[in-house]
Amino acid sequence: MGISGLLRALKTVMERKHLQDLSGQSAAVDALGWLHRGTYCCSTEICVNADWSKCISYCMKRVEMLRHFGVKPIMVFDGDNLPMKKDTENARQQSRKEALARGYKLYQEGRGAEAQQEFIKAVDVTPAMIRSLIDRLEASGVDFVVAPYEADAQLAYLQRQGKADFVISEDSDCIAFGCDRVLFKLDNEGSGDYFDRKALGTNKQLAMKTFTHDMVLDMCILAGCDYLDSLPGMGIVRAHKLVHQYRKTERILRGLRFNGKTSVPKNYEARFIRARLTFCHQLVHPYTPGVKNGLVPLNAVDADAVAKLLPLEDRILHFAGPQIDDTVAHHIARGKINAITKIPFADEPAPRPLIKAIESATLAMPSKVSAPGPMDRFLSR
Amino acid sequence: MIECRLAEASVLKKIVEALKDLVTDAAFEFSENGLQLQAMDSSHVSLCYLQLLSTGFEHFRCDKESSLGVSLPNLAKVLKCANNDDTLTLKAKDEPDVISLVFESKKQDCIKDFDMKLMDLEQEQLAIPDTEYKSKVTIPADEFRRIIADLQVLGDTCKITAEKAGVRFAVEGDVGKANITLKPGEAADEEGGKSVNIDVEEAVELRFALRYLNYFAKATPLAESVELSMSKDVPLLVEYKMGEIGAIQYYLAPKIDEEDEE
Repeated sequence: MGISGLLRALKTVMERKHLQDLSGQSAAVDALGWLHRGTYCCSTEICVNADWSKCISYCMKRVEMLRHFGVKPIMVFDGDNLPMKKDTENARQQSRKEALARGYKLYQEGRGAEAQQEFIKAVDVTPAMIRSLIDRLEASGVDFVVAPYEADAQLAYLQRQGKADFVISEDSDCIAFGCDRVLFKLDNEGSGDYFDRKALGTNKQLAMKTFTHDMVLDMCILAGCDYLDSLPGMGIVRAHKLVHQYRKTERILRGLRFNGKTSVPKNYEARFIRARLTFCHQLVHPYTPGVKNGLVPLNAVDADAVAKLLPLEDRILHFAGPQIDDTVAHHIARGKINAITKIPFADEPAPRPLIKAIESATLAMPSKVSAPGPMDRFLSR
Repeated sequence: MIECRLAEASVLKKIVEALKDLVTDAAFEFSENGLQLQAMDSSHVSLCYLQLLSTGFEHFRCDKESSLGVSLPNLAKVLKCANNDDTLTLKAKDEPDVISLVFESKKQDCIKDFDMKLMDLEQEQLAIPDTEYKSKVTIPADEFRRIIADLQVLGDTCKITAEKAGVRFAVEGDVGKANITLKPGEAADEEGGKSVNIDVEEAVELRFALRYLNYFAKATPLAESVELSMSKDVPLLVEYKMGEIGAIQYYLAPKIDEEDEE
């Protein structure tokens, strides 16, 4: 998750700050990070009983802490997975399933502590959990928005639009998305590492005085991000060197191919461009309370520039998030509709404990899904 | 909650035997009217559809429609533990994880109780388009099984030709070729109703994989006769009617002629 090595490389820019210093400001919060951390203490309850109340209380405690120090939180939740991340998501799903199976076995043997460790790996933050937290937020009058896709893009949007003064997150992605002020690693006492883009030039490890946001973004993608794995041997330091030397995206990519040190796969450039456009133009919700709006790209899309970069079939930027109907998008943002299944929460079945699936699946595993055959064309679905 | 009782376990035994080689995992859909099962084989060449009516059971109760995913080979193993004349009771709770099978001997002196874990199957409802079949052929079930077994000796594709005069099963392979022709009504009377009946509106000729017909013939013990329905360019329907309790229908996609493929 995040940009490999980025936070470490920016250590000297970070300033230790307490929430008190930010009093009177509003903060867009990456809620997923909190929910994730909240699941650690109750992973067994979640897996066995589908009970995540402790996790919700943990998040609410943090919300209260922000408010106590005079910071106004806007909670931002992740929505659906991007098409280009479906593979990563499937792989994660698989490893979660395996962890769940191990955890279940330990649990049955009565080794609760070890089981909990496995269950931690098995738990995923589900829309149902998000919905429970939203219930509490609504009750205490805290603002929130569910992003149509990734929360990081939504955080950057809120901050750029001036709807939030800074961002609270654990994920270095939000720097790549263009958040200017971020509070990382917020602890339970209210202190964290504060990143301000303005201070970027003072960084000691990597000289970035002349870096524009475009250059920072290129560096992040080169170093390895969620949308594109880095090339072998490429880390944040080499990425920085390349960007420093060539400055412009096209020249960086050309330089990369011609310096001969690294073997560059054939389609690397195309995938780089896609990753870049996903960071720039991912769809977000415009978030104007009370007004129903459709989704907008994080940064306005310059159609001519995009046309130059992409083959025809990719120009609608479907990889940066397929468009969603305005009304549906609005209800998703307000937490009324499950962002993944697009079914209203009211109509969804009650969540089943995770281990239910294992209990029935330990003996009986359905055989693999089969490919269509000659019979299919005679049938209607 | 589901609870249904069959007077003889052998009925379900035969049904599962008739399905298990074709389909491994399938969902039994229970409703107040009875239970049904619909599934395609793993290569999606054929489709089978089983329907059992609640009236065919000694006792049938289903409070809530539910779909129980079962591994048929495993169910067949469990059913092997029942004697043919045992009464069989199927039980499941609402939103079940297991299905229970209870076998009781005729003398009530032995009760066997099995629980089988269920599967979470993603069930896709498939609809078979209604077809007005141009020709229907009814054949004694064991006769049909014999024909298929005999033809398999020579090849793997069978050409079925239905005409007013009779129905012909033909196969051609490396070893040689064979033709089996059945004429209507001949074997009748003596054995009482066990005869070939042909109802052809329009002559039809279609080619099918014998392997699948052989799977279908596993349903032979369930019915006296089997009905084959055909029309040009639609799947063959092979139906075994099991008296008042229901029927098994198999659909098989026709093989496309080589010249059509070009």
